[in-house]
Amino acid sequence: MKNIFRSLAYRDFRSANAIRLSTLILSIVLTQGPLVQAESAAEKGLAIATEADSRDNGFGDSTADLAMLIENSAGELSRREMRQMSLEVPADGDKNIMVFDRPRDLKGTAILTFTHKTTPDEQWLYLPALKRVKRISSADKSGPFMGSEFAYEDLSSQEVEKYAYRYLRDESLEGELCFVVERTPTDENSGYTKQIAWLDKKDYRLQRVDYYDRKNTLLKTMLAADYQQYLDQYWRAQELRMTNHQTGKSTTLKYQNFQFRTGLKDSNFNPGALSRIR
Amino acid sequence: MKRTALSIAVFLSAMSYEQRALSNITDIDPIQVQDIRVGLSPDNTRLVFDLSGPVTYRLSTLENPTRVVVELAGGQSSIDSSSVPLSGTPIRGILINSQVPGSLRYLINVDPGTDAQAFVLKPHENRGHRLVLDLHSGEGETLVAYSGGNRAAPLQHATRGQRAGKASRTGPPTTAATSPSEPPVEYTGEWSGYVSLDSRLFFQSPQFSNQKDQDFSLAFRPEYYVDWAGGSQQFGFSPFFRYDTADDHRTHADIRELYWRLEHERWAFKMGVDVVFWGVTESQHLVDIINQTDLVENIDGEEKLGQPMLNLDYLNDWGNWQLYVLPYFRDRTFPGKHGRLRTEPAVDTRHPEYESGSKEKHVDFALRWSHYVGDWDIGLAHFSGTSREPYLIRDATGGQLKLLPLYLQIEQTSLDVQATKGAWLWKLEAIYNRNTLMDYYAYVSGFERTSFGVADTPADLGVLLEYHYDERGDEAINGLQSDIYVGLRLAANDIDSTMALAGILYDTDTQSVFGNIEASRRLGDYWSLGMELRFTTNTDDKDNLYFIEDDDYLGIELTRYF
Repeated sequence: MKNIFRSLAYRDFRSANAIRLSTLILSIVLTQGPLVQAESAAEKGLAIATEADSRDNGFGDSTADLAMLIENSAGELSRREMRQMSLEVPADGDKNIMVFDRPRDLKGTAILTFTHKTTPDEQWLYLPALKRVKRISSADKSGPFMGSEFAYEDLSSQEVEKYAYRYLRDESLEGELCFVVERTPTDENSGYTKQIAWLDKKDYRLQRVDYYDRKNTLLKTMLAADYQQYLDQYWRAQELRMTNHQTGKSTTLKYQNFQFRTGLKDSNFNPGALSRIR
Repeated sequence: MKRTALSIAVFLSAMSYEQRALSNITDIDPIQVQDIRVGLSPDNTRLVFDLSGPVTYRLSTLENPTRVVVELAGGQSSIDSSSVPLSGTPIRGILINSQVPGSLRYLINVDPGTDAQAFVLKPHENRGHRLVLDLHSGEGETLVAYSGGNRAAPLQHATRGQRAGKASRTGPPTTAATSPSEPPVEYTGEWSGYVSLDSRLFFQSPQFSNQKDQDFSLAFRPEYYVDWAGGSQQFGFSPFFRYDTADDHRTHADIRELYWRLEHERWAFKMGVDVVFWGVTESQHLVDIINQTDLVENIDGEEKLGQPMLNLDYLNDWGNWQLYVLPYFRDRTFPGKHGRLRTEPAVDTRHPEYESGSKEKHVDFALRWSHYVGDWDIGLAHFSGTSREPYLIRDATGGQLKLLPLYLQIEQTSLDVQATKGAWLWKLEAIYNRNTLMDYYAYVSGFERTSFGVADTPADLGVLLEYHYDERGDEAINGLQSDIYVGLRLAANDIDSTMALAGILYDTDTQSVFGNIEASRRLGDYWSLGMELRFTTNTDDKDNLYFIEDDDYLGIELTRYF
């Protein structure tokens, strides 16, 4: 029920059973703060990440349109446009397809990724000029995505198992009370020694991430903005802004048109079907 | 008296029917509908059925009056549906019909033109199993004013056009939970493509008479694509035109794509003209056979002519199965007498020879299975029909020496494998070719290893090594009988996608070398600049490269995409 009260899409909500409603409010109050037991910082960090992940369970599939605005240190902008399709895979990482619309020389280029929780991800690239589907190495975690400030690993499905966690503190971020958790990538190909993540305590949404490079100096900060809720449950940021502190460059990723449960199937996320994607 | 007897009889038969129906589901507890909640948003109305367990449901609509029917298998209602607050919604009333044994039917009276979608939600947090029913009013704009509460929700006008984004057409239509009416036909056709201007500057004087020192060329490749029926039907059209100042054979037109495709679940059927690529290696595409090479475009053989085909694809857990029927053969293009990079004499493309009496109307077949297992991508294929690669035969009848292409009938079985091990890609392509002249096998195998983020830059540097073998030896048409390719690939990973590939092909028998350097970068959002440098060294007159030993060139290409 508590999702309903914070829902943006369904502001007005009435129950057929008012008594039941108030009982539920009470039960929410009583069950709030499930992490009050004495835990180690690692246990608490993992519990926060697990809770955040579980809140995204059951989304099924989703599609979205993306615009990526890449700004160099002189302030010049270039624009990329993409479409993204995601499929939830029970007990494993999500499957994802990214199709490029802009720049025009890349139009129709598509990347299919099978994210895995513990084993390396699998990735295929479709090159429309040759009509060629090519399996590519997924070892390139830290490389820039399309010349932007986002690395591949920043955009891939954030599975709980991809990091080791340590709860640091509670902290208010722009008026919102957050958990601050340190995440250490478990993959040796990661470009980061650690990340510091801010998740709001209310909805466990990622609000900010600081990325530390292999020399353990602050490299980038990502800020998430304009969260909206879908299907009464699933929160999606409409904007992610990544700033590189070392180069002064930044990239803004804008999401539009999120749709959930569009009927995508596992067979849509297959290397053999990748050449049919437009 | 008579009436009563009849009623009892009906009652008894209903009883026995119900008992029978229930006996089928005795191992399942009935699903209780514990609550029905109503949610309002600017553009739809949501009914949430709180359930005691997982449910199988069916959604349908009835007309006159318009009703949405939700049927829950094994459902029982434990609430009074008349207590559901409906003011301000397009719902005029909810009726419960539990006459059909073993199922619970809700008949929901709605405004005409309302469409419905439903889906189930699994338990989450303190909520149990739920069935969610979304009702959209049919008009483009809907204003739902909820009059009941004290809070005034901000009202927004939302059109369905905004909701039907581009992303929605990439997937099949929602099947499980839509109303039985067909999805609206939506045509979202669009044009794209490119125009390019290129020039090839040859460093040496021509070896043969009539050849030119340089050429300028203009190419145009528009592309039209449209899909409908939720993306399950597609049409594509892409012609190609090139005008070349030096070679009238290079001035040519082709239809690269002109097809209609129908997708249904795991099946896809395609009819028309298209290009299909098979294979994994970089320096030769040995197993790629569906399309003919458009050789006047580029000697690298990567440009292909459109191939007429009927194609059926089927995808299951055992892989991707592709069947091709190829009813018409395309002759390979060759440079004319004014063009560079040709044989002497130039290939006479007006008088091709075919082994088959049906000539270019011979119907070819191909079957391919491909699959991925862990790190491995595997493709196994068989082709039966006219060889895409012609033998060139000398013909001196009429006093003048001619070079005629001869297309044999072949049975070619092929295997392509790639193992992706971290930064290493291990590759193999192999064929076995049976024909009337000389059966043979050939393969190309090697690796590509990439170092990511070299020298503290974002750039990737790859090393490629591939070995080519052809059992025909000196008779191998492409001259790749025992050759080694070594290459370096640089991807700068910058905003302009700057890329370069440099490599040499070394013939271990003749020690001749063919070198190739390619580079490209983007200029803004719509332009790109490409260059290629190609050269030969250490050739002799027994070598295939002999004909092009004086054709080292620098090609520059400027492309405008639209």
